[in-house]
Amino acid sequence: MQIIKGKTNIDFISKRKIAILVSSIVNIAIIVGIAIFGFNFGVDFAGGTVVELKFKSAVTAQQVREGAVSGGLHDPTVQGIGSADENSFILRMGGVTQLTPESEAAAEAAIRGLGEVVSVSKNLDNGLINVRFKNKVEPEAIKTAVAGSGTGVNEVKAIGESASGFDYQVVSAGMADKVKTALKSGMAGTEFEVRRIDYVGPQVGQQLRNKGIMALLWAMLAILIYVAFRFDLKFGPGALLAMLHDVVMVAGYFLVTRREFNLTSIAVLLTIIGYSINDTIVIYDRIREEMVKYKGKPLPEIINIAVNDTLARTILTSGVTALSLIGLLIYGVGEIFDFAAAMLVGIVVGTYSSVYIASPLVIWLDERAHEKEAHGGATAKPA
Amino acid sequence: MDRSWYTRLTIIVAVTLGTLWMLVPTYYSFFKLDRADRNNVAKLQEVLPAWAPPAKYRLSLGLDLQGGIHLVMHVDMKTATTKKVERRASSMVSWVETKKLGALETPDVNPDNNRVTLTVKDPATAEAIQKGLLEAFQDFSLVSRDGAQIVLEFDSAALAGSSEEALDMAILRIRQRIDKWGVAEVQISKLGTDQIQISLPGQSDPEQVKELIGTTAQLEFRIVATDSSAFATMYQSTPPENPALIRLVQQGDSPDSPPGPFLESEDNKALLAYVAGKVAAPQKVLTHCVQEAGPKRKCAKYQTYLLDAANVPGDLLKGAWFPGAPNAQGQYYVAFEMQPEGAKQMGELTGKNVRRQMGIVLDDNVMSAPTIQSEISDSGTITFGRMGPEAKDYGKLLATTLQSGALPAPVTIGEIRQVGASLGDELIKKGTLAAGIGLLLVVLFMALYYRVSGLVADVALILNGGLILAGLAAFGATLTLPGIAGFVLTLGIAVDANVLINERVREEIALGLSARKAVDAGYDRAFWTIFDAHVTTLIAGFILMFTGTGPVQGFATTLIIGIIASLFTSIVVTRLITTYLVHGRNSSTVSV
Repeated sequence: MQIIKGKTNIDFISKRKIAILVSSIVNIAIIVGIAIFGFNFGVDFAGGTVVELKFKSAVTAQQVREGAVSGGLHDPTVQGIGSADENSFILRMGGVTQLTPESEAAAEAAIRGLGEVVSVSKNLDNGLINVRFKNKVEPEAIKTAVAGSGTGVNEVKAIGESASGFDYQVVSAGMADKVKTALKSGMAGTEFEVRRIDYVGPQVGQQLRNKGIMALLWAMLAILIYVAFRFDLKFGPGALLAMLHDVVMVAGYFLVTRREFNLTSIAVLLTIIGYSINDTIVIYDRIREEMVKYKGKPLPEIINIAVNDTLARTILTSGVTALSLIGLLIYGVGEIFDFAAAMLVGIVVGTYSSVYIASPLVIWLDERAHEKEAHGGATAKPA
Repeated sequence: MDRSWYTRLTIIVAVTLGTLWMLVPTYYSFFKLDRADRNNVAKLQEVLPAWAPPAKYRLSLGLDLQGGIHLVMHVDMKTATTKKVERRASSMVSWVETKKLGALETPDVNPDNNRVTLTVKDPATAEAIQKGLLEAFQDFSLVSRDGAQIVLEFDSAALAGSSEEALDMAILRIRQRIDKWGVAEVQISKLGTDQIQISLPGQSDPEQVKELIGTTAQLEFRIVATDSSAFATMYQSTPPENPALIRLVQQGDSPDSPPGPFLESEDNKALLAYVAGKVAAPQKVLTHCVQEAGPKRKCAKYQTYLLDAANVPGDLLKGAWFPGAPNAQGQYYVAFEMQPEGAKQMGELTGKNVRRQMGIVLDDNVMSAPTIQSEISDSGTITFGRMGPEAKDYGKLLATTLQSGALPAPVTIGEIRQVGASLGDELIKKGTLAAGIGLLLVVLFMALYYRVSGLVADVALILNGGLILAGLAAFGATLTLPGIAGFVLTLGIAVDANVLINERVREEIALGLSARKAVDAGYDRAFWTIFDAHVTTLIAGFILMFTGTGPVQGFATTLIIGIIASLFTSIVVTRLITTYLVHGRNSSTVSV
């Protein structure tokens, strides 16, 4: 069996200008889009709480949302996952702890009602209120007061005393608890199971995001060094641009679909980098081989031969890898579905970029080198 | 067939058998054990046949697949440091008074830069006070002096030290508490300078997690009973079910061991359960953790202390520190100070119990039990016989223990990932189904498209799959949901190598080469391309491994093992079989 019968002779190179133009426009549009709209960051990066619930009876996302709001949750996003008969939902909230911008003022007022307060400082990221009272106060009384103002309290610690007063730290309870109590009161009569809780503090989220970006940059750098070492330096820029092109395009998938951008997305991008360079290398290897074989032939022709010769392989590999993802696309839920879908986008653009971006760039760089040489030669001759 | 062919055949057969052998514990843990016992290494070891690898080499599932809790805790260093500076500032006031150098106004502490502003009541004494303070409080340095105003700054090196202390303390406390629950495979590690990462497989009750950070450490000083023969009596009258697990010891082996006789066990939970109810109140039994050498500070075993009722609560402690140098007698020591109320109680307790041991108890764990040399009231020292680096390590730990009672570093949760067991089971089902479908489609496609060569590639592919699982098991890595995705993807990449080879062979045949020559040329020409392609993916994998956390790391591990295995299976294995088909059977055609 063969996909491509015999040898093909498609002129890929002549279409390189239009391909590069279209790619550049799409890439720039995606980058601008990211700058304007941003990603839909998942809790991994944005911080917040995600709770996955499975109901025992049929309910709709709308019902879950209304129940959550009437139970006292502030603006949760509710999304159904899996097939409709699974009754599984994901609730996402911005806050990590119950000390939110909406509830902090009430909590402070409740604390101030207990006695003369020397100072109050709040740390919303960690859900902490540090307060210094002039006189000794019962931690239990602080707990009751703050809980009464709508912010659930995990614990109130007495953290010492000094000349200017007595210190206490209020540790507010996590948002996940509130989800349970809110839904129990807002959707009385329905039974549900909490299947998963993801809770990421904003500081941790930021760290994870920075680490993710650093990982991408390091990977590109390391691969580039390898390519420069194994191939000619003039293959480097093409490989790099093809890599960037693919990363931007896959990022575009997350931008356009508004799917959650999270740690798994970073894993996809890293894999795409590997895959993209993989594809590029196969063609570059062939170009190098043909350069030796057809010495003297113009480079564009050589590249056309190389691309045509590897065409069957290029299509097959993409096809086979895509084939292996089909199972994940059908049975993958949530993150894994996104993984497979984004990989699929990456495979398609990776194949395209190896042919239309990476290869033409070699020509362009080669032409530049020749021009330079010609100029250098011209100025050198008279002497 | 030349000799090297047979050598390679031997290697491949050995690898295949090794792979199957390595997967035996995994097979038993998934198909011979109950779902509930999947993490029970001891039980697995019992059912494993004698020739199988040890039970620890089974493929374990990540938290996302088996259910469990992964959490990152944040130690609120800022609050802890500010408190520390405030305490040091107030001891400066009392120090100046006791040394009769003059008098200070209430010090002013700036929490943003950890500076203390001291105002001297009589400007004439300022010079002497400044000099004295800088000598006595070496963790502070002078920022400025303006007449009667002295501004001191808490040293950043000391700051780093106290951050580390607080982190160590928090880890110690968390470990003690988790040990009490008897959770099997807990992993606790530091993350950066102010975070702790904890994995609790199989746990799904977030209430328990809250207990970890929920309550502050409870420190108390409690007098050790002089006669601990109660342990010997109970051991004789009601011996434990498993005398190998709970043993009666006459003489301790560590400087912190209880006075004999005492009980000893590796299992704290079992030990506490055994002694429960066997000692009459107000006396009580608490355990002491004998730490393993090494940075992890894991408890090697636990020993029982019998304690009397008399005690002083630890929150009456004002502060404690380890100077890091021996005293005039050449002994290392930890110094501590009590608050006024604490000084009164401590004076009473120690005055009555001179020459007896006083247990330093943190969260129901006896950390140390020094002997009371004389009455202690507002301040005292604990000397210990250890020397060298061991003494420094011990002194730091002891000071941190005391300090944590006096000044706990607030711990908050930075990240929790909790997966219920039922979701985990569902994900395994879906994940394996998805991977199975992907694998099946690829296998079918290859067989249809390349005929015999496709089947050869399929054999390699299946061996590759086995190698990935065996590799994960051998390296003690875990299989996560992204790991399953990585598994599928790796199979795609492995197949790509055979696509490259087979396409190359087809080309060579089209050029008119004989089957033998085409196969050889195909493999030789494709080799470097495949190699480069694998290495670049490997680079991405390693970077993912070092920067990723949890499940994503699982993806990276699977990818790395798969890529390395793929170099072997898709090149060496397929070539061996193809060589046999073409050379060995002297075939003039090759089916690609």
